[in-house]
Amino acid sequence: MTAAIAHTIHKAGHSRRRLRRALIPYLFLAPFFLTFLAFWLGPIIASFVYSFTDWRGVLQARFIGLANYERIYEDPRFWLALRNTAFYGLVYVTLLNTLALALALAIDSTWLRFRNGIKIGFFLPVTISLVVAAVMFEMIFANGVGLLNITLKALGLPQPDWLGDPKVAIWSIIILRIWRALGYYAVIYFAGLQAIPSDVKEAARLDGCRPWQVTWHMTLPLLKPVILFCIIMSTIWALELFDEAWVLTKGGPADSTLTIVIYLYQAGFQYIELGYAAAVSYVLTFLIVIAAIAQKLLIGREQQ
Amino acid sequence: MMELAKNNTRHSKRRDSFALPIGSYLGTLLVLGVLAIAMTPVLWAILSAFKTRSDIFAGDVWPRTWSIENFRDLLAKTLYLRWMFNSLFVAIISTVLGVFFCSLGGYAFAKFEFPGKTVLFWIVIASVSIPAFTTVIPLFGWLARLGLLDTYLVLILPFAANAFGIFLMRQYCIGVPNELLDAGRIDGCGEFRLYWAVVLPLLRPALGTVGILIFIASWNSYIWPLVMMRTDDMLTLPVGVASLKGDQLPEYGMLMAASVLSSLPIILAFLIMQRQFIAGLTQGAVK
Amino acid sequence: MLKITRRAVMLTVSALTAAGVAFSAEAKTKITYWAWTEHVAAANAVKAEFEKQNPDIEVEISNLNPFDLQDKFLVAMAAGVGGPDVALILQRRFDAYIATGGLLDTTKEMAPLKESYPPAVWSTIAYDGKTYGIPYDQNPSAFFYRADIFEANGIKVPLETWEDFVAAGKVLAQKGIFITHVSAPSGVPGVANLVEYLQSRNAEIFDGSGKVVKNNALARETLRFYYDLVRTHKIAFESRNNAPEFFQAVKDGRIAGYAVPSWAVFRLQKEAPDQSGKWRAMPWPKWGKDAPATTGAWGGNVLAIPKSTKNREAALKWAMFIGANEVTQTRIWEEGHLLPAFEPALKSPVLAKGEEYLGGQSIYEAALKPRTLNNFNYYDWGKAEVIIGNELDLMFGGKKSPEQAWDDIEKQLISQLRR
Repeated sequence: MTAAIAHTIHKAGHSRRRLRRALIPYLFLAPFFLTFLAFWLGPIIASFVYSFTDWRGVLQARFIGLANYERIYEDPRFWLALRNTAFYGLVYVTLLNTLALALALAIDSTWLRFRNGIKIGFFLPVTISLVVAAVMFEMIFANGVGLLNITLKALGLPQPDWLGDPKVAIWSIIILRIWRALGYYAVIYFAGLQAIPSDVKEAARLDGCRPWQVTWHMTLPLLKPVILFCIIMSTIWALELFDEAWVLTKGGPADSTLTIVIYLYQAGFQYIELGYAAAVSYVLTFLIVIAAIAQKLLIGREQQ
Repeated sequence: MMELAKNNTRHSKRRDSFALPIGSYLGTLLVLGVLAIAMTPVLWAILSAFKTRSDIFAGDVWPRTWSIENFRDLLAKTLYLRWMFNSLFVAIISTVLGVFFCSLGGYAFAKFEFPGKTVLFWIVIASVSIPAFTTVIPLFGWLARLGLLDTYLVLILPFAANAFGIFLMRQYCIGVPNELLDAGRIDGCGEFRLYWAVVLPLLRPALGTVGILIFIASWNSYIWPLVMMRTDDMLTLPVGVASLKGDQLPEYGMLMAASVLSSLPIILAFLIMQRQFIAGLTQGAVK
Repeated sequence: MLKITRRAVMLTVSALTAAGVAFSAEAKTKITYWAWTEHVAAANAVKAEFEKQNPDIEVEISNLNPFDLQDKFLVAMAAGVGGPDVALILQRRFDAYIATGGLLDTTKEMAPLKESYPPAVWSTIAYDGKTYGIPYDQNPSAFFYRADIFEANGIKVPLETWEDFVAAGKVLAQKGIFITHVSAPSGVPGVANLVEYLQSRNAEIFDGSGKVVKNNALARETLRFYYDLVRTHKIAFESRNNAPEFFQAVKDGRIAGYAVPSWAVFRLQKEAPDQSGKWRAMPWPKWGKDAPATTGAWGGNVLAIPKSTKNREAALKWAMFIGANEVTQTRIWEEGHLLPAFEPALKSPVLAKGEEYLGGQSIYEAALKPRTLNNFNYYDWGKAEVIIGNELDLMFGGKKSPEQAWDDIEKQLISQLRR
């Protein structure tokens, strides 16, 4: 009898231990997930529900089915915003990643002097708050009296109205955005380069490969995961472009710098059509996921 | 600057073939040239911070008279130091809490098998692509009803649950050898102790990476503190500084002074953490 | 389903916070007021007096960036909780806030005061037979000019009509000096500049019932005039609103005039302190010799009280104290040359005081008093502004004539706003 009790106790202890073991991963995930649920997942689900309503604030929201999504489809301004964002994203992601990679290669190379100072110099813009950066670039882009046009004039080059010409304005925003992000991505690429064992490169060099061949055939393929990572990250940020375009041009002139998030912001924060804005954000999310999967397939498959 | 890559290889080739220092100088000069362009706005901001109001628009490079008026005004007329404290405080706490949450969760994702794992992981990944705007309005209502507006808590927690951070941590944790964990378990090590004493030290470089990501996200965040904070005392630096932009005319000098002062701590943080940051990305992202 | 979730959350939360609320009920009523720079200064100046008159109320004033404030206020309105007790709101955004249903109805309090406000100001808070919020300021436009430059070029003041104005502008243009400024490219920020002209001519975009005015010849003509200032006569300096290049031109003495409301004089004072004593103000020119002496506005603010405020009475008291009180309303003129909305305050000697920057002239006496502010109806203004701003950009970009641009504005307003 005592043995039976002991056995039961032992069994209970055993199964409790088993239960505890099964619970451990959940316990480990709990701090993250509880916070994540409260601050991200919860509101994300709530606004998904709102995207099927005509919610306009304190007034009672009515369920209107897919009407918001239909309206998005029918609004030419949304398509314009999409086109602008896609163009911007393509140019920005290409330029930014090329520049950042080139910079990282330079910092990683053996010939560069003042390595640390250069690294910090390029990282500096990352630390400057957007409001300040916006004021700075307003002065730099100012028509006629701005730093940029004064310089161009001195060089005898044409001086476009950087923020006022619909054809040029989007480039001004790309410039500001690259300026702010270059250091950040260069550091990530640099980290990737540092991870490549130097003996791999050394061996190739000893085999008579020229340095550019080493870079092209050895370094870059090994760097592919980092490149993919940077491209996906910068694409997500590009598709969510808002800050720079909003502070510099408010989407103008003539909607030439209108992006999807500006469109979303106007719907939500200025027209106070909160249900519609929620629908726009889900369309955007859908597009981002598609873009990320496409990039992963394109670059990721090559890798294997 | 796209020629940079070409030049880079050309110069290094020359160095390798002839070991001439001249290539090194030319390459450095080129990079410095690009850096000079990138630094011009920054230098301009620093110089402007020392200009008087009437000089700022005058178009001179150097201040006509060096003045610390802007810095004095900033410290005397605004709650600058308080905003700086708020920003640093919430960024540091978010960072510490964030690396803890993310490493713990990332470890669970990497080293445990449990029902719902894949679903949970993909939910986290997909959430990265939702514009943060979407979450603001529903959250505001809930937090307001809970009486949590205007508290440090709301400035800290959302940044501690960094979806991208948990992803990086998972990537890194996959590389932790299973033998090490099994050995610990055989020695009777509890699971949390195992994480704390064995896994965490191995994660150190990744902690630096995720730490900097969270720190910068918190430090640069704008809409979130703007909407959630209600009193001047509780504003963070970017929001406080934005109030200097005023209705019609920016306080240019004070804005520039603020930018100079507010960049200092983050540059310092970068200097201290960059080794870990780079080491962390190295081992975390490449896997 | 939505309703249930919301109620459930509210219940849980009110249970959670009940203790806290009960605890603080005994204390003074504390109200929050959101505003920015000059308005904060004005509020701070009268706060002590208010708290003396109402010992049970404590006012906390928050200084925010004005555009940030609008967004913050909106989020609070949308959530139905967490807002300030009183906020200063840009007038052109006000109709959108009313539409959310989150603003406090002030009909009872305001109705007896109707006679104390100019009709143009009153109409900004009136909506479907009710009033929301309390008027704060009016922003009638004047014309500031460089007296020294005018004299040196033999230009006689005042410039009675826009015809005189254009003639004078042409004289100055020969010397490379601009008589005024126009926001081009315009975008949303520049629309208010055009409204200044439309309003001064009574060229309403919407009629009183909110319908778009069709075949609006007056507006079309005004847009043509606006365009001609820049492109045909070339007498207006063109830049984005508040762009650095404009202020540089002011400093260089290439700008001899500025057609703006009274508050904008502080820009000149700040950016060109050395031109003190050289500037003067005159009334907004008329649209013809026998045309009525009217003007338009640029900007303007309204005091809003969210319905969700827990301190309804105290909030109303404070809002009335700053919006419907001579002493306080005089203060906003002193702090930022904002013309009081509350008419009794206009009699204050403070408004007649001379300005050193304007060579001892009083802006009010010299330029504002001789003109009446026209009414202007704002409906769905957030959207309307985007439509108009884009068309102005296309026009200034050479893609459309002003007439064509106006027709397209009308068409889009009708189709997109369904008005």
